[in-house]
Amino acid sequence: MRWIGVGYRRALDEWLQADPPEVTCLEITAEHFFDAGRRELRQLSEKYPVFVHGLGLSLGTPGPLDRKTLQKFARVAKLANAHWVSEHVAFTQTREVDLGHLNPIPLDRNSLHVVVEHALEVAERCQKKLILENITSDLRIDGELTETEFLNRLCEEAQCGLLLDVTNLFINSRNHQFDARAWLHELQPENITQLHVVGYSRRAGRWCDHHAEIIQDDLMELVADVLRYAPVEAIILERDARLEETTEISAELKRLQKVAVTDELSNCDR
Amino acid sequence: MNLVTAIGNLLANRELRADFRQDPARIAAEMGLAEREQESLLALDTEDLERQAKALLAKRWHTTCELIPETISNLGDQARGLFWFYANQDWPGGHRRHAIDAREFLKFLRLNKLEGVSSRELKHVRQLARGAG
Repeated sequence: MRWIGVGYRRALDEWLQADPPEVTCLEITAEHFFDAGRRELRQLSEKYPVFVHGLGLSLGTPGPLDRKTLQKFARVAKLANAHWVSEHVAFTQTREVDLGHLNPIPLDRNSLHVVVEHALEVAERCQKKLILENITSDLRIDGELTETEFLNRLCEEAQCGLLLDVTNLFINSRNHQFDARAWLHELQPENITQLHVVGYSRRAGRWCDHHAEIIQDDLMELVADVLRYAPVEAIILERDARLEETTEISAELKRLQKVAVTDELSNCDR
Repeated sequence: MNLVTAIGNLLANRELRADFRQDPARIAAEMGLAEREQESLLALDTEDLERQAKALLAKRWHTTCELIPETISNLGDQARGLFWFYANQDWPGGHRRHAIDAREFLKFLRLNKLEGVSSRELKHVRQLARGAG
């Protein structure tokens, strides 16, 4: 494990200015810097390895990528001197409506072709390694491929890596009733480059992802299993709520560091 | 139309989802999808589809509450219902969509002569929606 850090939010600025040693990298959300923030990006990238994460390229939408969005995304990646860039295996908009959030795509060869072409274009435009993230969704669209087959083929054909959101995997496995570890072991381990994790929430009998909770023990065990399985390079704690609780965030990062170190030591013993 | 566009339309349109629940084969046929895509559409779990649509609206509601807390507080118990009525008919796009959403909701409230709109918040989200502030 090389890096452990947080999803950068401006509410964390004061805490980050104190250089907390448990933060060794940052992930920034590209859209937050589409309008401004050139100096801020430069300062962050001088201090940390920065990963640039996109939300709105909608790689799963058939047809050309939105030129302006791609241009802005590439500009942010350049200004941040991104170590790598990331997006989602999802669609957020169609030619007719912008849904604004992530939605699942059909798991078939047509979709695979669409995402592969778009992924290659993003990597080429940014001149950076691209990694793609699994999403959580209440909706599943069956196709001719399983999700893990889709992801393996995507990584191979688009020459990209995986941003494995462990919380999303955990939530999907509960809501859609499958074995998270079996799913994990169907993935090619060498593709898993980065992890996202944050505690899950529960509402009305469903598991959900509100980016607000402390990482629960059963979820942390899954993180440890992923680290034993794959040569992960970075873990990002993905918090969007209660950002003023920096003592708690700091403790979360230290817990992740402990899990990562334990994993490395056990790998050395083998 | 392709399958992703069809699903996008279903997620954005409550009436279309109701029609789809009632007569999925007719709606799938009217969308002009290829045979295999029609099969995928017909295999969707309509409860999951509804849940996903509500999750999208819930995310918009959550962000709007963060941007215009005073107005939401002024509206009291009716705030959520009013927002969902507005939000089902309007899907703002682009990277400033959160601010545009809040601005459009405030405009909707004013247009319908509903009290409680914070002028300060309206000014603020107008600025954000223009990329300033």
